[in-house]
Amino acid sequence: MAVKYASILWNRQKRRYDLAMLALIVLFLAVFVGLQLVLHPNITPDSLIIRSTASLAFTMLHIILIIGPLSRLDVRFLPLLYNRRHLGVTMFLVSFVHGLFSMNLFHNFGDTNMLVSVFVSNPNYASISQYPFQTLGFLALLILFLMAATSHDFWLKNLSPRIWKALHMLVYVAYGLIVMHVVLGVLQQETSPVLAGAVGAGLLLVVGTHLAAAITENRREEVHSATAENFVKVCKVEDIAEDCAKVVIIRSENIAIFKYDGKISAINNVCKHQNGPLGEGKIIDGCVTCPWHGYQYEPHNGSSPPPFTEKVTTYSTKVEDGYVYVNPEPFPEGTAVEPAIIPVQNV
Amino acid sequence: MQTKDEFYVGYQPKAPKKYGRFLTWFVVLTALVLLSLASVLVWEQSDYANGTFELGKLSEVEGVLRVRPVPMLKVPLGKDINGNTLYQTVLLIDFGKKGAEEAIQKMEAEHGDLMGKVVRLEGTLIYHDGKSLLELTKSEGAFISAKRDPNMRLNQFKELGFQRLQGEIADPKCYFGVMKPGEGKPHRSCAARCISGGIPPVLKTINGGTVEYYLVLGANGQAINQEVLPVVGEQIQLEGQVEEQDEWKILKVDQPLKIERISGSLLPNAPMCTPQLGWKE
Repeated sequence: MAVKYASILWNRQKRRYDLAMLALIVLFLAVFVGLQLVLHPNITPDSLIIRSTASLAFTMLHIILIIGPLSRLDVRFLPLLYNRRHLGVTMFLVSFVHGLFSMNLFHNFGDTNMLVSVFVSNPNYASISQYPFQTLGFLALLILFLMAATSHDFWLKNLSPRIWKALHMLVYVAYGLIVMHVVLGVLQQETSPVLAGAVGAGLLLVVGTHLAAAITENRREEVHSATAENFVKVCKVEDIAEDCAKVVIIRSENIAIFKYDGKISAINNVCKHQNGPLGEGKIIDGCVTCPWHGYQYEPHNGSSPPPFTEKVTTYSTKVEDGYVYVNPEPFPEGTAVEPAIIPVQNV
Repeated sequence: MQTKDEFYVGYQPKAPKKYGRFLTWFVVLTALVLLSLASVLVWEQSDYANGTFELGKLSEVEGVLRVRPVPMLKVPLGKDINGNTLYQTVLLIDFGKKGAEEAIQKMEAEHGDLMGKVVRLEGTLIYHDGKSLLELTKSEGAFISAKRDPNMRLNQFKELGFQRLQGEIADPKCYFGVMKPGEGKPHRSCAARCISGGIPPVLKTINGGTVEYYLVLGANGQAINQEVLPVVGEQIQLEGQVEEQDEWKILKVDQPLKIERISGSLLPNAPMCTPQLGWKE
């Protein structure tokens, strides 16, 4: 979190993240280019750039897509999620080099504007095997550009988190387009089953990790029925670790119930920044801290500490006979609610 | 259960130890995966043709210019053991994705009729599989000199008769060296741009491992580039009269143009020919 917008707020972790990322990129390119020159010395520099950047960007996109579900499956992946936008912007730049060289090589210096040529040079839109696959890559690159250009929190704030998140979910559309770009393009010429298998394995990896995360998520969440008082019994007080939360979904309300300083407070589980799971965060310095990007909220009123302005809905809680209850009827965002006091024998 | 110290917050300078250890191993594992993946991706690729495009190197080439139906230069290479002059016929194309007609017309506008004259041109050589092309890198500026030489003349076309041929239409500039791969689906759009820009289409056929190339023209020797655009890069069948000039064969496709698509690229694309040898005046 930062009050002012700066290009990047560097710290040791970010520098290490970027260094590791760049080292892995260099390793991939060095092996790919080196082996190409040894095994296929007739390759032209243009083709070498196009194929190496395509392979690298596609691989990076897989890593970007599985970081989210991996972080839900194991919190030790969270540092990868925290700086994922660095990986995303870098992947776009690599894709852009691929797109630029491809456009220049295949569509420039001709009798038609190259942007038009992408869409008209192969008119077989009705055929699957002959489909103009470059159009798919072009559209994917546009999506990746939009995402990279709006990756900064400045745009998150100005577009609103809802629109920003929706825009960035287009990464899945881009991934689908790129898979088809590869299948209907280079795999029509490079017919090795190993290459087709690699694309299939990548797809399975992305789908598999997302499914695994979704299944784990569903197991975690408990649905309760409300009592006449509208309070719902959630769990025993001791079931919630100190400074941590229990997450429940009641009547579509995603609620994180925190235990701290002998008190119980409940706020909405969805962070205003990027929909991170606040209930998987912790209370640090008196504030609920989102595990994804460290956004903070005061547990009793769901408001970010000044000068920040993010707010989430809050809920009434009570403790009776050693059990925690919550009223799933939400108060408006940022409404202060008196925390439930845990009797001394339950603390 | 996590302790407070183990909770990860990205804007803090250091990650808790358990994260650091885990991520170190993850980075090492990722490095091994990337190393293997890059190797497999390269290992499993098909090899590239050994065509040459002498990018950045301009060569001067002198020979007898044929302006129509396709600009070519018949270049003397030396003499055989019997003292006969050996020639190489070089296909001329312009810079970028463009045929050489316009550049030759501009040369003729300035230097007069060049058909059959010995012309010296400067350009970038492209060669592969016994075929040579010269890119007029400076377009009409490629012209150096022209003269008449009664000892150097253009050959007559040798008529090879009606043939039905199966193969892929490619653009000769990319196929013979500028791009690798210069054929097939990934290259299709580029080939379409080149052919649309006036570079004569070439039908590549394979017969039992022997590759043949046919410049594709209309029945009267006119360009039919726009007509063949929809099937560039696909396996097709064409038929018509075949003529030969030195090492270049020309397929004059029957009109109205009849193109048959061949489903799948694994079908043998053997030329089925009915040769009727003879000389055309």
